[in-house]
Amino acid sequence: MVLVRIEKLLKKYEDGQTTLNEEVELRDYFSQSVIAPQFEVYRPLFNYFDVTCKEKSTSDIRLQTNSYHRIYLWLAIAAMVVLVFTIFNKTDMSSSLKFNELTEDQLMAFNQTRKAMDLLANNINKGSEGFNALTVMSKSLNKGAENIFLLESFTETKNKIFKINN
Amino acid sequence: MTQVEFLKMVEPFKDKVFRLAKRLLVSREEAEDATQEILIKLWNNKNQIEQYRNIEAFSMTMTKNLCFDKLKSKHSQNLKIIHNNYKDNHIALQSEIELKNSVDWVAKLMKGLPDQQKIVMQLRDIEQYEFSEISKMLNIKEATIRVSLSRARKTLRNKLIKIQSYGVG
Repeated sequence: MVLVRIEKLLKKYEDGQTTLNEEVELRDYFSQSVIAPQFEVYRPLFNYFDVTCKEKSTSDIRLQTNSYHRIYLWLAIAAMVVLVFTIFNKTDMSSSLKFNELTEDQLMAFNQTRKAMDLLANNINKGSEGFNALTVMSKSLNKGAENIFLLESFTETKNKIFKINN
Repeated sequence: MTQVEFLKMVEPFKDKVFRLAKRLLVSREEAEDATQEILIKLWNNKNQIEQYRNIEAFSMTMTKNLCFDKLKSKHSQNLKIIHNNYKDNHIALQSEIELKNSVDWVAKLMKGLPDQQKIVMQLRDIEQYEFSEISKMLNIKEATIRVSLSRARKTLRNKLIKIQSYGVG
């Protein structure tokens, strides 16, 4: 009885006409340890279906990869900006004239500017000599501040005396 | 949708995606990559996802398309990868004979089926989807699916008979 049923189901199965329930019935039949020898040929097929439907993906799901990409994108943009700026600065520098390419007028202007700068520098040096006096003063100021301490002790004693008097 | 909610949503079918990808791409690593790609695509479109009625069917369709794209680009450009791909199919005769486990035979026989039959068999016999669901996933008629399936099943049965009577496929 069972064999007739299985045979009928197998025929239907091969024609693609079985329902899911009927296919489950077939699987159940073929998962038994002993089956009719004429059906033995189908056993690997159904066993394979049973085994392989349990196979699982073992890698973890990484959903954040996308945001990492975004970080790299921004990094790349920043790097680009820096690069472009450096290149522009470089080109500006290289476009400025070299010393021996200057015209006479420009040389004169340069020399005069230098003279003026020298003059200024000398005067600054002179002015800085005046600073020495200032340092001396600040030293005496420090001494004076130390003496203030004496004044404090004086007021303390004075206060004590006044207290006694009161 | 939070990440946890998303993972909960894809959990029931992420292995089905993986198995379909593996069926088509053969190598396990590539199937893992494809699965990852599909899930990231879903995650990036998570705002629209909620509008879809059947995310699982939608994902299976995406998987099928992605794998076909991958196979196509592999065939057209990279010789080395094609070679790698074939390595798996061309098991030396010696080891073929050593394939004692008849279950392994079925896996090998399924590799030889045309892509369409492979997919249909994967979705029906392994993932046990209804014909109506498969029809939606693959965008083909139920009758066509039944025909493909019938061909695949008969091919496998004939090859299994051959193996069992002669010991060689």
